[in-house]
Amino acid sequence: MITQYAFIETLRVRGIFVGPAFLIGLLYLIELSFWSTATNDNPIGHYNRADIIHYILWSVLVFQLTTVAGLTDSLSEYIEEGQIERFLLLPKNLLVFFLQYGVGQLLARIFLFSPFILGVIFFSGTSPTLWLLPAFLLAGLIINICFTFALSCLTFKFRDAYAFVIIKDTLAWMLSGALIPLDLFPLVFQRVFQFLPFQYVAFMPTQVALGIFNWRSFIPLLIVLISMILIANILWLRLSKSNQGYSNHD
Amino acid sequence: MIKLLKIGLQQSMSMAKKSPANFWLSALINLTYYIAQGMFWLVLNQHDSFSGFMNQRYILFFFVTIALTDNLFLLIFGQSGMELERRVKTYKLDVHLLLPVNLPFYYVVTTISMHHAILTAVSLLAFFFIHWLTHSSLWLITVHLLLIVQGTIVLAAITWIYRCSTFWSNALVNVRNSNPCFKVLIRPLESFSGVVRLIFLFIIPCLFITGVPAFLVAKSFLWPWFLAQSMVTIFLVWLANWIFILGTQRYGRVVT
Repeated sequence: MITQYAFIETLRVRGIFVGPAFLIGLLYLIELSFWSTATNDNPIGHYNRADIIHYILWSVLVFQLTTVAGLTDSLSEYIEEGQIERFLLLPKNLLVFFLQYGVGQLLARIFLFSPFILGVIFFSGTSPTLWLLPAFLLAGLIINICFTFALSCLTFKFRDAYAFVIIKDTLAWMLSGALIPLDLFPLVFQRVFQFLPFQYVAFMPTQVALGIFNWRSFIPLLIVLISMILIANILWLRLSKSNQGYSNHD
Repeated sequence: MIKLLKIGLQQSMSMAKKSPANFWLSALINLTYYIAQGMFWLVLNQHDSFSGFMNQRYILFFFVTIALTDNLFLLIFGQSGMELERRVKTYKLDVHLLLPVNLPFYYVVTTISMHHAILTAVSLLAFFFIHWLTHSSLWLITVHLLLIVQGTIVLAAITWIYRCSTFWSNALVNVRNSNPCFKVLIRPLESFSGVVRLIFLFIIPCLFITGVPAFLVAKSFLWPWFLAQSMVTIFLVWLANWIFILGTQRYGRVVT
């Protein structure tokens, strides 16, 4: 029901196709032009020209799908401005509520981006693991929402904790593989990335779409997914007890 | 005007004092942004395909241009567009429409964000340090500063136009990070060629924000480019104001 509501709510904005279409078109223009001009069409790492173009085509789409802002993005504001009571009274776990809302938005985005998705599939061709992409998009979305949710919960304790969410988003932009494939980083960085949740937001789903997914990555994904859900939930349950109503810190 | 500016500055100082944590966190956010960009270029420079694309001097000038432009924008213009967007979305623009002042100017001076003062000062120091390091002439430093100021105004004008789209639809502003400027300003002029370069120079002129200034200072200074940036800046300020007027007319029709 919540998912359905979020789906309709997202699509009913006037001229809704214009924004995403403009953004995706612009990103393709910038990224594809950059990679082909800056590399002078030479291979970079183990990526040749075609590989990098396919990677960019998918990563731009995937990042836009797994990072839908949703209600979670406003959680910090709700807490800071004392509007959280309406959520505290819900006969439902708030994280589950936000996740359902996020899924609705993800479905709406997939619907909006479907011409682009079909275009990329047509251009890049299908891969043996493409059928797994929806599951990985969902996992990426859940990890991202839980991360934002957990950081937003800190607003119960610290004023302006939304800054942490912005820092997380800035880091995700770089460390998720949305801007540059993570396997182009030095090996030391790649080892560190294994322990961070960012790669599941863009890099891993893109690998799945391109058919270069390693099944061994499935277990770490599950561990990260479960850990993020648990951390977000525990933080919410513990910190929401210190809610003091309007403007906690004044 | 002066009185309004004084009130605006006092207001922003008081906002900054109200939340000292925000003061440091804003600096931390921007610092993360530059670290992310630094990592991007660091990774690329490790691969042979990129060797010769930008020399070290060019990278330094490009980085300092981005940092100063971005921080000046955030300090002076960053919040004004968002304030306009908020008021249009919640139908609370009417009160301000009755004020006997230029509204875009009013929004700019009343939303100066002192939270970004630290990194603006740091960027300015970095700017002079890099010029000192590269033994730049006073003329080059002055021209670079002028180019950065013009670039900041270009960024502010395009962002204002982008925020003004709320008068017609929320479709664009509701999509997170959809402001085209911030996607283009982190790439040098050489990243784009052919039709794409022309698009970003003359249709969505984001390359005049940092790409052209860094190129003119680090590679070769060409007067026609400098004049082109000035012309684009003036045109965009006029366009931003005109679109705002069109928007308020539409707002008036919808609200009444």
